[in-house]
Amino acid sequence: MLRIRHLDAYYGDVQVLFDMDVTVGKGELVSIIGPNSAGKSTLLKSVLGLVKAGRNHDGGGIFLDGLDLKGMNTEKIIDQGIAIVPEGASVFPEMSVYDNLYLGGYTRPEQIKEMMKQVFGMFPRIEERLTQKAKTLSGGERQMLCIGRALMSSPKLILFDEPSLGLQPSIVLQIFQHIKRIHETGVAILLVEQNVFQTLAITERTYVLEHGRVALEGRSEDLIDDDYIKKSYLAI
Amino acid sequence: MRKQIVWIAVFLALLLVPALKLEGYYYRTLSMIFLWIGLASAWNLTSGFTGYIDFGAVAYFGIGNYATALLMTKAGLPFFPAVVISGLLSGAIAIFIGKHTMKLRGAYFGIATLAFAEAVSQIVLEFDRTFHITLFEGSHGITLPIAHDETFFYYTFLVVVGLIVFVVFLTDRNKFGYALKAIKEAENSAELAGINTQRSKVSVYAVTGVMIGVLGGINAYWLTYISPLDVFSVTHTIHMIIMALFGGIGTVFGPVIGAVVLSIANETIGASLLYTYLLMLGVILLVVVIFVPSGFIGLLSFRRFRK
Repeated sequence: MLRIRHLDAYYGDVQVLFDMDVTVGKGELVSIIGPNSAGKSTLLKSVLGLVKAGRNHDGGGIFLDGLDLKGMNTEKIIDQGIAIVPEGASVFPEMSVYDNLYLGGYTRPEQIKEMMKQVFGMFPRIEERLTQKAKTLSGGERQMLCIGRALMSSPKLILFDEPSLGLQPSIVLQIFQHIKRIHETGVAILLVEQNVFQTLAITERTYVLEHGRVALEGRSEDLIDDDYIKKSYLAI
Repeated sequence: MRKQIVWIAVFLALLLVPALKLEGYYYRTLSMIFLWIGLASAWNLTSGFTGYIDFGAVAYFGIGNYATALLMTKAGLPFFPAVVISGLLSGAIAIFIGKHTMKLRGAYFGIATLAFAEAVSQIVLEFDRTFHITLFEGSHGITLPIAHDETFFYYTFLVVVGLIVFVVFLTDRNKFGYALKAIKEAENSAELAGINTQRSKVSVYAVTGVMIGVLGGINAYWLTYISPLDVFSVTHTIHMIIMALFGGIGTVFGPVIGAVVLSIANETIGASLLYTYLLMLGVILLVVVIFVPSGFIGLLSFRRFRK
């Protein structure tokens, strides 16, 4: 589904990603972990066309179902069936919960009613808050709203950018359960996280990024027993 | 829905006003109020909905004035075709300016639009003297043919302004309006929702340009005399901003209420006690901005909420 091949990415003239190879198969749940400034969020931004990306090899680039995303505007990329749950649960604060969800379905207006029903099925609490301004929601509810908003466009692939950031442990568990449930409906997920243990527990494959390069990759259940991962990320 | 019915009733009642055979003064005053409703609403459509505060909106008013004046006096076009072409010209210029300035955010956009309006004003003022031709007539201004009677302008302003408010009303409720409001709230998130933010901003800016350009064209024929210092005066932009702020920026009917209240205040208190009026206006604005940033409409919603 999503193939990233030989990708370089830059902030201005500064190169931050080097010869990156990442793949997410259809309906697969893949994670990217790594320390701060490893390039995890930059990778997601590259997929969405928000960061200047280059290819250092013939046949390199970012492909969604074989379609080269290079040169596409962000809204065109979103229109191909990608949605993102951005970092920091960023909602439209002065708009109602309903309006936030409506904007999630902006590219698929004909499906808004149907998708809203599905979102309410997954997040009944969001339905209770429908007329409230998004800024009045708690941190956990905001994250649920962001996930609901991403689901509104009935995407093939959802990118999660550190969804557990700043949330209390019990809410983090709920969020990870929701991610798993969404994956079970057949949606492919690329999850960028710092919460390594939880991430490895729910994902199928994981890439470890360090200094803008893929340092390690493999099945998550294997990586959870890897000595390097245990020492560097799980402090065991 | 009841609110919309009230506004439609007001519009229909205003259509019947000329049947009362009022004195010319009342038509002129009402036409002036309509003009300001249109200008404040058109300004609000871009700046109130997207949050991009345009300090150069008067440029399109001046362009509309001059385009209509030149098309009528130099090209001999009748009034209505001249006004339509003026609106389209304003819109085309707005697309060009918007494409370049709407990539800027916050104060930078405001400064760029202010500079644009000043530049256009100076071009109109100095063009003839610089190129030794007679086109804009410099500071002497242009005199237009004598206009029709006051009820003609009353109806023209009423219908055009009614259309402008209706467009704002529709925008507030459609998909495009959602996109504009999302841009105002969080532009980066709007982009991630699949909204082409740049195209949305430029499109709405062009519509505002057309609206203000058309109003400028009607204004030129109504006044029969225009000069750059009058029609490009930055105080016009300031009035549009103040009226929208007073009534409720980013709402449909806020700028309408703001324009009505402040135009009447200007006509009554401002005419006899100019400095008292300006002082009062300043105090009212301070109070509104500090205590009721959502304007008069916001105050009404708050009262309803408290009940």
